[in-house]
Amino acid sequence: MAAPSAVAETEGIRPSLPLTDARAQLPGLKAFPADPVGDAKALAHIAEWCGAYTPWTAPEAGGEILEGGGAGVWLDATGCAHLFGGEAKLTRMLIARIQRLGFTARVGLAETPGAAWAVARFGHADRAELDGNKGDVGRIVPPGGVRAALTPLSVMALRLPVDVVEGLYGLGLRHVGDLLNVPRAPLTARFGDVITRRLDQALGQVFEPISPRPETLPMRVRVMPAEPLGQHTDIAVGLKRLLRQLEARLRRKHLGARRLVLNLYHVDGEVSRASIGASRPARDADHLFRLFADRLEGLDPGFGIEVMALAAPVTEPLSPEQIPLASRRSRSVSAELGALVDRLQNRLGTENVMRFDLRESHIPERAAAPVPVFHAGPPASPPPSTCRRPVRLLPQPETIEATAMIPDGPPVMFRWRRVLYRISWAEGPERIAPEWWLKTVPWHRPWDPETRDYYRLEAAAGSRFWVFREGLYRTAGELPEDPPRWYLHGLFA
Amino acid sequence: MTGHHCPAVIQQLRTRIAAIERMGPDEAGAGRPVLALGQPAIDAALPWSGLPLGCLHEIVGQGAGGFAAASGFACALLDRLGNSNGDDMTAAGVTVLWCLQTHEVREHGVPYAPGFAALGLDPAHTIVTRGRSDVDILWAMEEGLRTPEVAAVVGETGGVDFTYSRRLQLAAEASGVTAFILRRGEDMPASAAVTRWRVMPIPGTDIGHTRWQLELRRCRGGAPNEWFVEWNDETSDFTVAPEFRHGTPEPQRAYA
Repeated sequence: MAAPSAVAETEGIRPSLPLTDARAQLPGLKAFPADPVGDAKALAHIAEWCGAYTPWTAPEAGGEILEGGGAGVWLDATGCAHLFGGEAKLTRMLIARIQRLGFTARVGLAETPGAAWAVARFGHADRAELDGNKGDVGRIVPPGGVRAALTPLSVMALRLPVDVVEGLYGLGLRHVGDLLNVPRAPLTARFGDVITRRLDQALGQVFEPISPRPETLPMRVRVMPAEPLGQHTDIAVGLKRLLRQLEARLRRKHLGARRLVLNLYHVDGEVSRASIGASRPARDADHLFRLFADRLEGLDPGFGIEVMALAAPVTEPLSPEQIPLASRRSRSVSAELGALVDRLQNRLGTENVMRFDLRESHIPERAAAPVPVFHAGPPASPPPSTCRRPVRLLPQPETIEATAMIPDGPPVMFRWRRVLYRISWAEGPERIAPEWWLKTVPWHRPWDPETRDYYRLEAAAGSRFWVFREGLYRTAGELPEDPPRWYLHGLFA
Repeated sequence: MTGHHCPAVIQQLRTRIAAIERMGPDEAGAGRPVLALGQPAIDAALPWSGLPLGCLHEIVGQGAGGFAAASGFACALLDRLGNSNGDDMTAAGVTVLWCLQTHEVREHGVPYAPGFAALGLDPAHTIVTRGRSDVDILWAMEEGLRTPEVAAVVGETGGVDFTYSRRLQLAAEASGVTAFILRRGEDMPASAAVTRWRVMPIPGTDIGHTRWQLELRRCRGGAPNEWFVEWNDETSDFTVAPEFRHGTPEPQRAYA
């Protein structure tokens, strides 16, 4: 028995009771297989959705079955309640919203997580907080009232394992208040430190952190419109507002965002998300809005969006020369160019916007390395070779059928892509050997790391090619006796 | 019906058409900066005495060799553009945006930075983008054309319809950024480009020379023409090779 319903609980069905016993107690019991994975998912989902109320939310780690219901969701509401008009209003709103999602919510709010856990599950007895006819506000423990609130509750409220609870019941210790008055040493000797630890946590004598979901971020702004947003144009307006707020906050901290995540919390509990990246730290609201423009079209407002939150998970210091107009004429990259690269990257993909760095290598594939546009690596060294290089390089050398007059010489004709080219001029060879001092295989697969002899060829028709013969020429009798293999690697202008 | 064609009326109509096209020789010559090719024979044949900047130009290269030559010609023009901007702090930026299509890379290869550098285009100031389709290429070009920090935009594409070429031309006019379309293949639909060139590699008298047959296929306000030129990457200059004009036969096409 994992989670008895409220009705079953009033009939005395407890969690951890074997199903047959429960059936004997309550013949009409309907049992459904427990789905801990599904529960955990739903809980994580609710925790994410609660991000609309506070950035610090965490689903309670499941595992052991405790009395008082299954796992819950932690919300650290410190400093958030006033945004909603006080703690009572916050909890009432939470309960109403979660009920609309089809769940029953019990909310406890206290100075320590342990106390909140206790009053949420066991605080039914003193429903004094029922706020007139405005609805359920949950159980709110006033500041300094933790000890008083816990004293009348059952020891089960301390998040104790079932066997410990039974042991305490056996000793006649049924309420938290009883535990407060007995000496601790015998308790620890008999049950281990679990009781005293839970007690200290509930009373706030031991700090118990809530481990928040990973996405919680300090640079975060949110907006809660009066009415749920159903139109793209409304979302755009809301996003602009968020971006302006964020810009102001980033400016105060001299930061720029490298990544932005927009979370839209829907009325029906869905969360949709859009994110953008910037090639350099940016905070200009207009620029960032343009980057979002494409993404917004893909978002479906559904039944409406009640909260929008914008977070900057990756921020970097924004140096002064990136502030507009300061570098209008300098050689350094200007803001406009950065904005262009951002737009290109967000549509085409980061890996598809690049710059080539010249590297000090004779290996053709290595002489040019793609780097991010604003990559500030070591300054490009001039190419070591004064030999001519083609203007276009094939990504993979292509096999050609070449005929050479002498075995060691350049081809006089070759066939490439079913076209025969007669050669009128040839220059070479330029012998390029693998870089033996590097461990990695320099040539592209499937070629072996062999020496290549490169030739520049000019066809009678005019086209200029860069071809190579792979491997050193071997005279007859030497092994292997394969004919030399020729490849076309590039084209000259 | 008067039945008389008054020359003044025709001239007036021509001026109006030119104004509508916004690219009459009169108008372009007046305000637009010009990139001189540095070769009097060619510059004189162009109504602007060079290539007008802030306009769309098309360069056609057929086959793998022809496309490499077209890339080389674009590099040569960008080299001259960079040199003319060199010390002028008020001129447009030095950055070049070069847009490729991912699927064409296997066929025509990638622009090779050492080769570009040899032709005079600085890889450190060349942003290369890859797009999946012609739509992506044209979009990226347009974005580049709206950024005055960019000196020129080059887009390798299979085809541009007239409407889009008009868009690019208008964007180029608005920002003053020059656009080059590197076009593969034979079919050449109507386009709003100001000039259309066709580049073919031709054999030199010695290897190591970059020689092209430059065909001016279309030129707004000018007549088609043809030259045999050699590009000197040391001096960034074209030289017309007169011996080819009359002496050498038409270069052979590649065997199909």
